[in-house]
Amino acid sequence: MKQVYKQFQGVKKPDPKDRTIRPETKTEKREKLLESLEAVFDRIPITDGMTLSFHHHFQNNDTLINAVAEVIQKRDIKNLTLAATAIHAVHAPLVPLLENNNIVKIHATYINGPVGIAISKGKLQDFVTMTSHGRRQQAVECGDLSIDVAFLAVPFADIYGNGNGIEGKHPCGVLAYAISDMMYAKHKIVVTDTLVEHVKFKEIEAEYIDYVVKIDTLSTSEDVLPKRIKLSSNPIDRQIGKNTFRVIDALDLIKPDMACQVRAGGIPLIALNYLKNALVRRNIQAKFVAGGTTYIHKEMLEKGLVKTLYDVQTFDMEALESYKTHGDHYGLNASLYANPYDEHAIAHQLDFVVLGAVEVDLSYNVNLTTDKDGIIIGGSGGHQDTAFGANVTIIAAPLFHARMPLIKDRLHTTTTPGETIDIIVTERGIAVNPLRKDIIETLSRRGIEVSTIHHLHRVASRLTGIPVDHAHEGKIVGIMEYRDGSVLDTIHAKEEE
Amino acid sequence: MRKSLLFIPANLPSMVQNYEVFDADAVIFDLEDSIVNQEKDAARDLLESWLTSDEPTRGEVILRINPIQSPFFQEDLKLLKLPKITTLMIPKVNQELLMKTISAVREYANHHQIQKTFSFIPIVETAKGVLDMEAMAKTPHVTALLLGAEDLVSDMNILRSKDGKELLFVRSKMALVAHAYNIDAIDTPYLNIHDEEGLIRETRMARDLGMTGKACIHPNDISAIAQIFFPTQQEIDEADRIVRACESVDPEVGVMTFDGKMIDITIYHRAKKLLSQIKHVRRDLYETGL
Repeated sequence: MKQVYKQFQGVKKPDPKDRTIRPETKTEKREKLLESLEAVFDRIPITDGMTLSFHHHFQNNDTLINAVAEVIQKRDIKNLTLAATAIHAVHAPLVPLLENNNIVKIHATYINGPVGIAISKGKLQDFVTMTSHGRRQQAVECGDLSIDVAFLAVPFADIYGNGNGIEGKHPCGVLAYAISDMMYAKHKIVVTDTLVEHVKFKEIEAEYIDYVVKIDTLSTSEDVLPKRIKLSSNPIDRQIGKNTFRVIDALDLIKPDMACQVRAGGIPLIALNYLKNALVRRNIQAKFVAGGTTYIHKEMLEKGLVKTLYDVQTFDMEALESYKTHGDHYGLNASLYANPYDEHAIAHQLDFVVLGAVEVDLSYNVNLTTDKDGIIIGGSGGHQDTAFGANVTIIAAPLFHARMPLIKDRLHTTTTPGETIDIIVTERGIAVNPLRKDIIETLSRRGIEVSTIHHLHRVASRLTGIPVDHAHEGKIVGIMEYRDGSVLDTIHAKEEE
Repeated sequence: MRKSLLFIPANLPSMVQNYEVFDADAVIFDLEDSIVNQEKDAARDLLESWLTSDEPTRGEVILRINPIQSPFFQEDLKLLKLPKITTLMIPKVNQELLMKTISAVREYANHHQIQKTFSFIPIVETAKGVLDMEAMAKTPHVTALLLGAEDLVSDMNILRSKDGKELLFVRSKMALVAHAYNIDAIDTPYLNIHDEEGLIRETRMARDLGMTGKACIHPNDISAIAQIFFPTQQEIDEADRIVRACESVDPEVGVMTFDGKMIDITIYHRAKKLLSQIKHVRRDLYETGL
């Protein structure tokens, strides 16, 4: 991992000429099957100070990180860097490894659960580097994040190392976030619970894979994905989804050949459902919808409401079935999705994106990384990438949760810079970044009432009062990188009160 | 236009604080059946603290008070002073009780120098109320009738059915009376909040019988109701073309042909009425049906 950090100097478009790509690492090994993870540790061998990587397509059902952690703990290997694309609550067993200096650095795009709490309490010896999806892919390809061993959880694999995410005992969908690790890590291990002689549909390719290991299960539960993701029935969420759709409509973004991304959950997904219905009524076909996919995306593709789906994470079994069977549902390499240096990356072609937020400040900076107490609870994922790439970036979120307001004077952590955020849609009003006079003008002309963010701040404060800030700024436990690799913000320890 | 009306129990802060968030044409703050006796004072206090501002609200604010014969009626009248309250919904009422209620409201308002004109929505939820519908509809300042189906079937000792056959006569009569006296006919709320299909079926039936709107008890029902009571795009387009066609000649001339069909002055007037009804409704309210 790089050691010199530059400070964030504002949002700039990276010059593709500056893109550095390391040679891919391939293998000519023929006998790849090993009997256990222990054997992988012996064969490579895995030693102190290495960087181990994982992808997060099993989300909170993942078993692989914990299984590898068990071997690390048993062998008491020290000073490792954990480069997991995301860490969830299920990875609680990692906490003792942080406390024992087995893992001293973490690199991730999202962290939730006990590991986030442990880091925020200062239990990681070094610090965590939080990035966007696009930045992670680029960091891997250029060597800023140099991975020694990539452990790839692959639901369906053959003895040569070919594999995919759509078959086997525990299909998890597209393996977008595993691809760069597969291409550039020094050693690549396919770990599967469904080992077969041959794999026909290949997302993971044998020429990159050093070893293959079969374990009992890759998933903590029978089904990695729900049959159908649940659309929120909370009336406030629905109202915000509706308001978001109205903004999209008033800006004339619903048109043939439109390209968009909508976060595959919560309020944004409600907005997508309204959008889907509008496309049906108006007989319009979108060019593509990108990002996480759900049954709503599947329905859009089946009904001809969208030409192409670009999938980087499959969120339910209906979407998985669509990816498996529909020729226009493409799994994306996450670098093609959001690499900052790729002008043609899908995230850079979006007409609009609808995203969420934990907090927003008066300059439209967004926090998704830490909670009201300053504890790490999330991260950018693709937030920075799509906010940068989309022509119109919309944040859809309730003006307050319980009594915690969305809009604050000051954020604990800036995850996405405000200059890439255009519109905040809440249940009690819509604020538009003054940098986007064109949007203010169009919405006003279309009869949509536009507030200032200061007004929304006052409305929320009137209803909730101004809660006391319980965050305490202790030592730096992490950095929030922007997609150009600069340090956008620092994350501080939450000291015990 | 009162197409969708949302009941909000007035003792629930989580609901009251969001009353302006939703797209209902009117909210009905309830002090009656959804509030247990020991919570009535808390409900009045809550409304008093939330409805103090006289800033204009997005939709109409209606207050369902307790019946005149109840011990809570007089206390409820204390809320008449709130600037946003201009419409009162009167439960378990017939013509005689309605007149008494209106008189008591006026007397209270005069006595407390409350300078505004109240309108009234009687709830038809007793057999006597059904018989008195026409008299109530032509009473000055009555602007709508609301069907209270649960109490009505209870009063008549019958059960509600899925197809609503037991309410067919009452709905038909209410629609007829309301149209005759140019007031709104508002259908009873659909109580199964997890049955969207049932809500849609019942709302369509009410619309087809001539009811002009429907009350609901859950905000998620508003979209479906708004959508059903709003004309379809096809109906709007056709009305628009009829009006243009008629006005390109003399509409009073009598009969003309349109798309191969004979149309006369009645059809022209109906098309004009439809276009004028939708003029003040935001199209996106219709567009955002789930």
